[in-house]
Amino acid sequence: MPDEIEEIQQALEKAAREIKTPQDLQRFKEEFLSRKKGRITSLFKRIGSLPPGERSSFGKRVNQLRALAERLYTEAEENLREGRWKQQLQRAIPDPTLPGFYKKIPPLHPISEITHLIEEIFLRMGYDIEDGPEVESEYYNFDALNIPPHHPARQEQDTFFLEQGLILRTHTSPVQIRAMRRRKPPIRIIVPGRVYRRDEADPTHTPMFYQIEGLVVDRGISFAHLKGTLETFLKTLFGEETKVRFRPSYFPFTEPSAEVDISCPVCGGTDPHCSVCGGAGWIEILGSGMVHPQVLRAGGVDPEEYSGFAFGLGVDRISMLWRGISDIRNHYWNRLDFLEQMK
Amino acid sequence: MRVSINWLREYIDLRLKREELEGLFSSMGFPPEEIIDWGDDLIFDLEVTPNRPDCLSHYGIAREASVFLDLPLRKIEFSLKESDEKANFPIEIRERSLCPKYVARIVEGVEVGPSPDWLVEKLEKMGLQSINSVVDLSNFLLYTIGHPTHVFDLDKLEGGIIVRRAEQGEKLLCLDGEERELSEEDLIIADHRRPVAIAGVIGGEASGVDFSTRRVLIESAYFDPVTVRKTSRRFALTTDASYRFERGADPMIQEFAADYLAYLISQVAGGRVLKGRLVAGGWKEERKIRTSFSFINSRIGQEVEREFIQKKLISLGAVVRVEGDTLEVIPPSWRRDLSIPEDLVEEVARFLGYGAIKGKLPPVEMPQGLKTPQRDLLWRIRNYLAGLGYSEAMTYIWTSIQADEFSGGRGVPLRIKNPVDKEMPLLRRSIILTLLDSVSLNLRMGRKGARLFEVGRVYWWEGEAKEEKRLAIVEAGEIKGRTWEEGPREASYYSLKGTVEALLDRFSLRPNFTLASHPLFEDGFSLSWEGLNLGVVKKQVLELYEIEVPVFAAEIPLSLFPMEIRREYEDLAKYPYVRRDISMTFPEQVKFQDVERALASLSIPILRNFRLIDLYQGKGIAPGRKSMTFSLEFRAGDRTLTSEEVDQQVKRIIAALERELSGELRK
Ligand SMILES: [Zn+2]
Repeated sequence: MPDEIEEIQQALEKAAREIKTPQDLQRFKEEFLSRKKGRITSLFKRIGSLPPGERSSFGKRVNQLRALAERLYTEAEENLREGRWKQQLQRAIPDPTLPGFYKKIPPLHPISEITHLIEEIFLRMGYDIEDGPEVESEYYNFDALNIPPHHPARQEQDTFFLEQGLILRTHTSPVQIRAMRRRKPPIRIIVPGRVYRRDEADPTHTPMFYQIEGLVVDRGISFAHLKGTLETFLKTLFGEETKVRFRPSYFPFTEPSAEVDISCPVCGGTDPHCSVCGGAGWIEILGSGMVHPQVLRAGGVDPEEYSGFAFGLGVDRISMLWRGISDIRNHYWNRLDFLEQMK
Repeated sequence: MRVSINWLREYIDLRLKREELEGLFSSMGFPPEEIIDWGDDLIFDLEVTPNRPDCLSHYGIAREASVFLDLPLRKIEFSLKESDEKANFPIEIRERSLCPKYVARIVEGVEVGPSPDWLVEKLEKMGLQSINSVVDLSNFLLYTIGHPTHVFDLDKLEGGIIVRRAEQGEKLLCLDGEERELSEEDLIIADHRRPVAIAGVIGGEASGVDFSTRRVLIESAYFDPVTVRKTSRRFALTTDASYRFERGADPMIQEFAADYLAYLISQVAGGRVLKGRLVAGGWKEERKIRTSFSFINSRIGQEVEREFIQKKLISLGAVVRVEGDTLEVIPPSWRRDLSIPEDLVEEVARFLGYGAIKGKLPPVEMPQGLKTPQRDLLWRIRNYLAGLGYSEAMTYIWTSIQADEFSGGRGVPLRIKNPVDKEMPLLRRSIILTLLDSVSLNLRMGRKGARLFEVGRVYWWEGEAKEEKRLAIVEAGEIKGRTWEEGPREASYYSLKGTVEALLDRFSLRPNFTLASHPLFEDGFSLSWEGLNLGVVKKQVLELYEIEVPVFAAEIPLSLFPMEIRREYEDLAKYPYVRRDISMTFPEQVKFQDVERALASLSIPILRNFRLIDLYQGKGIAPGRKSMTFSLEFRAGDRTLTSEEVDQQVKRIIAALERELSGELRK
């Protein structure tokens, strides 16, 4: 009888290998595992007819055979299912290297991104964001900022005059006055916004651009505070390795005044032919100073009690530095070929 | 201001290399704009700030450098020999406030000729051409000590000098060959017959010095900066003289300048300097700054040694009195920019070097920008629209008059008197108009379509200037699909409207649009709600921008959006939705909005969603009618709905649509 077990086992293995369809699987089940007429079942039925000494070992072997048949059946069933799934996949994904389905989400305007970044830094330093009108009076734009009529710094040829007696603000500084009148010290604000200068557009000028003004007014504010703040800001924005340099300068609304340079973010001062710094190694990045007492007074703040500092920076310039954009006009042409690059 | 290093070395022992000189000028506050190699000399073109007219000369720069470098300054020394004959020529100032001081000297028997080489070369370095020895010396003096003088041919002056305002209609042929018509605003120098110079700006041709001149009158005066500036602006004429006078001349230098120029003329062109100066008016210095060491230190933010402060202030030419902590400073006459304690703070900081001041952060007791709702709102709007496939644009705010007529704006437009582009003088009253420029540019540059938005302002006049922040969205041409799965499609009204609806929904705004008539949009294809306008841009407008494809646009006041984040929340549904679709036909003119309203008036609380899922007209539908298929979703918060209950509501809906909108249920 052992021969018959072996025989069935061989048939079983062969049949299992040949299962290709659900019908094959069904036939396999009926032939070997059916409780009524399956070949393994019939072996069990024969146990009773064996001599008692052989029954146990025979039974053991038949059990093993059945376990094998069941295992092969499950495997075949899984393979079959797997095969169908693969076919479906094959139909759905004929070529896994085809491009994925997507629609690009366009990036925001670079001026928006940079402004947001700068705002974020100052918000973390405890500043608020202020706002003011773009159509301004000459008083707020000039006089209140200690630039009386006929002052050499009153750049009238750069100013857009409106027929209704107003002007387009030439800088965000008028908001200094408006904010001081609205708020009580301590004041810590930045003012992002559009400003207008009557320049013909060329690669380095546009008649409209973005500035961010900063103003801090409190008791005991010093030039050292101005330095510390701008150094922290510029190193955060351009990287810890950035060097920051303060140079004396002149603005009617600050005293002392300082122009601020950073080490060239492109070449770090190592390339004499650098297209960004022209080999100078430094880039003028913003103007700043201690708020002039006349300006504090115009804002209703007592200069005997309070002092402050202010600064103004051009967002377009930073955007250009950031990306290596060589023509500022790109910011306002809004060519999609440009905007879509601003990731 | 051009500076020759060799010339500087006549007054100060500068032994600095090129880079060191650059650094020195920068730390003074005058960064070089250009450096020119000139034989054995170096010429620096310095950007001298307008508050420092005292540095618009070689001696002035040397004086400043001597304070910075603690080097001695060589004074200009000369010995003027006067003849026994007394100078005599009447000088009268009629406008004391505009010309407080006028000093003159007379030199007789000069022989005006070409200038010696040294003089020609010096002027060449300054970019000036040699004219004749006397005129050249006047220019040389200007570049030496910074004070502008003028030299008249005395034989061409009649009677005496009068400093007065011009009379209306007076004219003067100037040294540059141009005849200028003067006004009462202008301060002039006249003789007893006619104007001979525009004070502080330019001299007259007729009284100028030429090779035949024998007797000269040297003018060395102080003119009011504002008057000089006004006149110079009006004539659009900036001269070396006006540039210095409008920034403020040294009011104490007139005598020295007249003497020195007389000396130079007598040395170079010969002649006798007549005895004595002719002086009208005078100047009293009254400036005195009271401050303290502790004020200076607190403004700088660190302790600066008293000796340093005192030493530097003295070496810049100030008279300093110290009493305990108090400082009393009389600034030198040439430093017109020093008048308040803060000015001294800057001086100390500059001499200390800005780099030597250690930065620190100001103490923050309470941060201020804890909430920035407007910024956050804009950021959310921007990102949402980008997510829907729109690029953010920023456009110039000016439009043409023709375009503005379509703006539908309030009030009247604000108009720029001096626009960059004469065709674009008006401030925009609609952002869509300026966005159309960008659409047009993109199409011309070969893009097949554009979807853009801008967050900006519109401006108008309504008794006062008004500004409103708005969001504008435009789309035109081809819209890219999802790569190869879905081809490109055309921009459409519904796509634009859907964008607006989606954006409003993002902020829980439920618009109740009404069909509107707006100058920017085609009649019948425009909706409005609470200041929001959207529609199909008029063909006439597109023609102005040379756009040949349809453009769909919307403009929304930002005030429409809530600044606060919504706080409502509805518990997740415990009971299932029951969905029913119904298909009905309606007469063509029935609008979707009519159906919405009919449904709303039924107020069925369990009707939670109502959507149009198909619109059809054609085969199988009677002519003049259209079919709409709606999906209705019902749900109750407190129970599972029964079929009967839902069916009953569906029947009500159908009945209402049949009754009110002549609807017919499709079988
Ligand atoms: Zn560089």
